[in-house]
Amino acid sequence: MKAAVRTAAVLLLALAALAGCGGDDDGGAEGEMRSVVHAMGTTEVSAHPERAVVLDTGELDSAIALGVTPVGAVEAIPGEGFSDYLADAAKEIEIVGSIDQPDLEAIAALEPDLILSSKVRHEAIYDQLAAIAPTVFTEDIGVAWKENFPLHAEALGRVEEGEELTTEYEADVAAFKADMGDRLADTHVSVVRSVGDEVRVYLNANFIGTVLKDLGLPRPPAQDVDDFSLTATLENLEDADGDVMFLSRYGPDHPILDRLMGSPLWQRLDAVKAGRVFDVPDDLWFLGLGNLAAREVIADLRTLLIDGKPLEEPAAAAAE
Amino acid sequence: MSRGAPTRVAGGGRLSLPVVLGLGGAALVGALLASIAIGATVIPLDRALAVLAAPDGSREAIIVADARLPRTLIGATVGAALGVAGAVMQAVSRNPLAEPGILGVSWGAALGAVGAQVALGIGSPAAAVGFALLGAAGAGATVVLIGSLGRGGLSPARLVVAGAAVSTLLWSVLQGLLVIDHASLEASRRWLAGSLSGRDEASLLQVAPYLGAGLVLALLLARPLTALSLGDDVARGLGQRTGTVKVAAALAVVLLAGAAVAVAGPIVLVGLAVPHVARALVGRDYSRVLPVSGLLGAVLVLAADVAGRRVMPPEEVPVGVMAALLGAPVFLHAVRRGVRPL
Amino acid sequence: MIRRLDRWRPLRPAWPPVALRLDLRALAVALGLGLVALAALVVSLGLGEYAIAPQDVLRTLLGEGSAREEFVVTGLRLPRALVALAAGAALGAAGAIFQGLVRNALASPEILGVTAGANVAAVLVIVVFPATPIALLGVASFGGALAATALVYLLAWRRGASPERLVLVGIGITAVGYAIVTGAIGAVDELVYASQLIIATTGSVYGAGWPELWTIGIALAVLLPPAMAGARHLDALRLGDDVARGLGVPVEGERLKLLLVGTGLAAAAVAVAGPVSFVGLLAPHIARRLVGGGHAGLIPAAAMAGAAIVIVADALARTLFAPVDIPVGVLTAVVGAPYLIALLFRSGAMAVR
Repeated sequence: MKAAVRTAAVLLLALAALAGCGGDDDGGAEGEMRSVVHAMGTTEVSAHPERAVVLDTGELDSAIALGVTPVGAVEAIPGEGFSDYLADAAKEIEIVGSIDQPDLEAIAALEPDLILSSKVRHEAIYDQLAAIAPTVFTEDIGVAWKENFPLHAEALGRVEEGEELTTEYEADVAAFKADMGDRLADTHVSVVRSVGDEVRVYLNANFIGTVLKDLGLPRPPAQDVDDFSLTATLENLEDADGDVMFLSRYGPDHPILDRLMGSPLWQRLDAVKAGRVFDVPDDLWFLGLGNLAAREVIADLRTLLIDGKPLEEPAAAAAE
Repeated sequence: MSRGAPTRVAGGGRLSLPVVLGLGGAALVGALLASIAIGATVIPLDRALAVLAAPDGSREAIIVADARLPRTLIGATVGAALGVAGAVMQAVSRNPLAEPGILGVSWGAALGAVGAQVALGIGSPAAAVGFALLGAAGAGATVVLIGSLGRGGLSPARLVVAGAAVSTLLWSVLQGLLVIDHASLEASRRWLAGSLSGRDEASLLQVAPYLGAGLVLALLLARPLTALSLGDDVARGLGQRTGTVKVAAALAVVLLAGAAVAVAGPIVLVGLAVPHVARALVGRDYSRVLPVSGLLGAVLVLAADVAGRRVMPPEEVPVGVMAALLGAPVFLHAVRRGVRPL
Repeated sequence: MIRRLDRWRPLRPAWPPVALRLDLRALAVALGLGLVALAALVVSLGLGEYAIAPQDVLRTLLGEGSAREEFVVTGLRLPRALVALAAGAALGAAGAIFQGLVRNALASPEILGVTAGANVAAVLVIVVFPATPIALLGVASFGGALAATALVYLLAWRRGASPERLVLVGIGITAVGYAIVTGAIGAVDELVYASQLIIATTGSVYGAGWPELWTIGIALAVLLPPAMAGARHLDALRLGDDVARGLGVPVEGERLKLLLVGTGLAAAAVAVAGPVSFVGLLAPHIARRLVGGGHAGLIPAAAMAGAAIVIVADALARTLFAPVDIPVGVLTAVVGAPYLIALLFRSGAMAVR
């Protein structure tokens, strides 16, 4: 049944696309609704939403990846705009508040025909959002980005594109694995992020953890744990070690990281001794949380690990 | 209006000062050793002491010297500062519930440091120590003003209510700022919980001059504080210029509490609990109460910090939470005994 | 009507003859404050991204507005505004009860540890059991508020719970509560959670809707009648325990009952709106100035005043720093704390000794 609906949706989508080429006559597509099953129940969504509003970075990434520019989106950090890697595509998007408090009236004013977010973020305001427009929620964010993507695609009426993009991601993964060859198995990857007042070692249960798992890049034993992150201090600094370390900075000041990096123990890390600590852009690796970001991360990994070149923009922090 | 007989001042507490200092010193040594020896990395005490005495470049030596030693020193210093600040506040206000946290001084310092972060982009609270001191001074001046206005000043209980109002106000404004500025929230939220983790000797050095000045000033005030703690009339009768003493005492409190907050975040109830224990041990002569309060403050904060490392590993419970929980029983005891002027 | 009441007067000789005038005045004041709150509600419903003039708001509420106005006013703004009103009313009534109980105009839920308990419970649930359904958070705050009151009451008990000890113990518990809340804000993994924790623990009606309105509405319906029934005991308790006992009031029993009613009201408000600071302090004061100290008049007037305060503060909270919606508790704290301090200097009935 669901498959049938889905096929119908794809057909309609194709028709709508054809109609779109011919002119403005989209009355037919607008009238068609389909049911989308999601974390909060079943919602009737227009076959071809044109005015989507997205309430987290992962949903923004998905929409842009699928070729839909949302009419509205929230900022991850109030006042900072959208992530650099989406900046071009996101130029026209209206800001509708921040992740913690989306501006309901601004969203309503955009007269959206679809709102995308997640239960973990916005369960408390689901009723209000659903009153504004058909609202589709995933259960979780970040770690669940691959399960979320087909739902985003379905809600946006872009199932086929979604499947294509997933295939492309898998192809990128396969190509990366092939090109890494034998090196893959002995490249234990450590992921470290400084957020100013804390330095975190990222474990498996987050966006970047899932990408690395897909790529077959092994994690050091201390990081091969199904949890979100652990705090790095001098006491457990060796937990941050690996054959290679990817280091990211969120925010302007990093006193704790500076202190760790100034310690002789830092110099004793294998990754440091091997000269294999790489600065990576925070918005892609830690804020993107979607298909586009994942593939850009793979591109970064390819540049660093296979081509052996530095990234073009070594660190987002450098621009701050 | 029956006051403690003045003879108690001279007579002191139940134990003689050398005994108290000896026991307190032993407790401090124990707390210092525990803080040096206990952590995520298991290092036996003898090994920890050996590498501390003769650094051999080993991992243990670096952890002890660069992580645990600064953390321990900061904990001890902050604890001493808070203990002394609390004792000074209790003496001047003659209020057994006075302390930097309850009367809002610590939250003033926190708001000062975070305000500097939000408005001027100063990265670490320790670097914003000047603003923390300003905030502490602002909150302190407000409370002093509140306490001294009106006929004969406020009763001890009213002053505590005023402090609670000031604290709630400052806390709310602080939270409002952090909701607006997420970068500052991320950069300060662990410090705001009261934390010694990851602080280094550099941040201690940044605040050390203020802490040192505050401690010296407080100890110089010991005799006049003793007189003042018996009431303005007694102090004036002894030929004291009470106004000058009060201003100097306020300055000492601002220096001690402001700098302590800048390096370790707001840690409440230490300054309340410690002087009570100190007075129970050595009586009401502040030339005894102040050093003993410093000693016991250091012990309490170190103990809270060490306990916080062990409560739910691998996570650390911030020292601010542990210290508040340890200090609360003394607060309750003091309330139940009745809040008469000290 | 008036004349008939007048005939009842000699049956209650303890009351001074001016009592009747005061009662009418209390009714008028409560109605007047209610009208102020309603007017503020209408203005508030027009404020925001899509501004609507008050007369158009009224038209819309009567079902005559455009579809757009209809949606913005009744769909988005009305539930939130009504929750603000109801939470304010509950806090105001709770404050009046607490101040009567503690014989002290300084008492309010944030001073007595009630809001700290709600905060700590909510925060612990979020941090320790992150998978808890959001609907249970309100239950946790409610339970935390009750538990904290019980704790404060027990710890303050020493041959009776003296008002002064209740206040001071409450302050101590609150100080520990702040330490735990800031600890949790530092401990959560993600920045967004930290920010959401702050909003929840500072007091905000952002995102409040019909379910929250039901919660607070039922609480008001259940708890206001016993509050009114206890009003005369409060009047007696205000004269001191001994006098109250002399008047035949079972002092500790009534105190506990009223404490529970007040805590229930405050806890329900905190469960839906977070701890909106000092409303429970300000509202009874405004009311007392207008209707005097008799609790039968004071409690409804304080409820109306609380409603007006929170609705005005919320209108400011969502427009002052737009598009950022600052927690409404920040605004009420900025107004309430100086007022509380000013109160400390007024000698008289409110002495904490």
